[in-house]
Amino acid sequence: MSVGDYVVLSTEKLRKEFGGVCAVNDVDLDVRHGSITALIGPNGAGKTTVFNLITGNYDATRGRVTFTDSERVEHSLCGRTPDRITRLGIARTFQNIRLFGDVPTLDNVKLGLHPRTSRGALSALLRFPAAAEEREVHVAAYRYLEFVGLASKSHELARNLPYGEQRRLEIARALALAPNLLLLDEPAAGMNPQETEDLMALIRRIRDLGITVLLIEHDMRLVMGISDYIVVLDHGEVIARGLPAEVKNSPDVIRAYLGDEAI
Amino acid sequence: MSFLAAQLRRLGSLDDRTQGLIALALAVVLPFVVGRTFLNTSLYIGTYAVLALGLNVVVGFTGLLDLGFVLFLATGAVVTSFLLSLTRTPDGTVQWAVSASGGIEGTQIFGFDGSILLIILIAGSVCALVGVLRGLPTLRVRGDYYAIVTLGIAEIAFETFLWDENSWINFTQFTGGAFGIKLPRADRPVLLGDPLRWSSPTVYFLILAGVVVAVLATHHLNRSRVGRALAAIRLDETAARACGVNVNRHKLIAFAVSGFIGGIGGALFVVWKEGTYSVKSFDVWQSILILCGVVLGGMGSIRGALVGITVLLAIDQALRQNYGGVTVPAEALNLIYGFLLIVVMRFRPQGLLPPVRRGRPLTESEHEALRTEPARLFRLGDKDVS
Repeated sequence: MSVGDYVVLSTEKLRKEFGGVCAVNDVDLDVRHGSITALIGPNGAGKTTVFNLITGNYDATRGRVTFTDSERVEHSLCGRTPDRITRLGIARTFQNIRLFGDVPTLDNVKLGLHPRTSRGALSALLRFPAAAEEREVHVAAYRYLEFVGLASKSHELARNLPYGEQRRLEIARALALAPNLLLLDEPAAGMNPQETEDLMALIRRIRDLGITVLLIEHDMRLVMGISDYIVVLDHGEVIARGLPAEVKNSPDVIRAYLGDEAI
Repeated sequence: MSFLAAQLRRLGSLDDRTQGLIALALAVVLPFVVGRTFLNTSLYIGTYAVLALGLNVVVGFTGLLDLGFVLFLATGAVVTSFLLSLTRTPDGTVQWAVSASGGIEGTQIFGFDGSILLIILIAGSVCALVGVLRGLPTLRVRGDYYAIVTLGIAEIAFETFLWDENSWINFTQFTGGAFGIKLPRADRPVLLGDPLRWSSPTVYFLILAGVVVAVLATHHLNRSRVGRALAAIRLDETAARACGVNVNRHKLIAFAVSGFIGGIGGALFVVWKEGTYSVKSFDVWQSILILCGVVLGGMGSIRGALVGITVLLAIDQALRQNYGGVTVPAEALNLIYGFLLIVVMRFRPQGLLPPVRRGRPLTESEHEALRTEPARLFRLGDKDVS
């Protein structure tokens, strides 16, 4: 499958109003398969709101979101619940890390495997032989940890991990959902330069495996370093879009970030 | 003292199975070495241990505060008494009379040997259904509202059970109302040829079996895929949804399981009380008592629920004894429990035996085994990595 031969996610005139405030104003967005697309913009531009609209955490005031899964089946995401959207193949991480802090890292990843396993409550209560599935879950969760470089921490409680590792664990949990599209909300926030470097390599590896990545990020070195395509939001509106080099030199973008005097 | 502490620590380091088997062995020997008072207390503790384990599924595993668990004790008990009193009269009609005025002429429908086991299952199923129905309206609310709804529904049920023939529906024909339930001696269940009296070992072992079943069921649930999903809901509902967990569905599963075990507790309560009790005793304090046991032991911990309810009820029974003419006034009891809970919350807020969340680190050979085993579920993107 060649990169970019279909659109994984597309929004049309997506709009979200909170009371009288329009946080997202008629945003059109196309994310091509196999790309790393960055959604950037100043604080309060509505980036996380767009994520929450895509994942069903917010209901859009207006507009459409369409997702194409790995079987090339199109789904309208409007009105669907977050868990349903996750099961269709969109996984996400959160700006303020949302791990299950009180359980071991391995179990965090096992939760990512929840939708692809099937054992129900009755079988668990009666203890029908489901040891085989549990074993598979265990092994697979361990492999995902290994993929993000956390295998040696499999039994640590998630909240005891250093910040950078928590971010990577959240990515491992999202990958365990076997997504077609991965949404990363400020994955490099709070990371030191070395951790950011490792994270960029990890995101590239994920993209190269055929998982489309849409990310929100403030770290321009990361954004310019790995993005195939960039969309810039300001006050809920798209003010620029294109290749990193095009966006970097756009007067609108410079004005949004630095003010009129910078031009 | 330090010797005892060392032995306890050694006991604590054993694995779940060994600890469980030691506890079970002690429990099996218990009725043969203790007197009648102590035996009755054991039955009390056993019955309430089942209830505490049921409550623990919702409060401990799922993280929702349930202030009306007595509903399942009451429903399970009333269903059990009702089924036991069902009688086929000589003219072919089926009648029941729970507040015995001499009983009804005819043959008892659930009079066969072992019928109590079937009745326990029915009581559990009814309570599972009640749990789901009670849970449905709470799915749209968050946080403390669940506690308020459960509290309210238990109170409504408590009042409804007392509706007599002047009301819209006469519930006292099932619940005995203020006069209480009293099954005729002939209607008491028979198990293994033994008409169940509280002092008979059969009752003790029936209740012990109930505890063992509740322990095993909740233990397996907790360590299963569903248990993980419940923990996810407890810790962060949004993140649980982001993992594809259908939150409402899993909450309903928890309500059903919790209700089922609560219903078993209600049925066992009737067996222990030999069918004589009053629904007026199923007030909010019963819910609080069971909840206190779970909190004292450590929410989410199975051995905690067992130890918590045991400690609480043992203190309760000890305080109710007559010490050479000196007794603790009944009104002071709740005061003492309240003080106890404050002390626990101050010095050990996680409870006496909180759940162990952290596993042991893997050994090098285990790492190697995991690395080489085939992993069907390990999939990254379009490429099949395994």
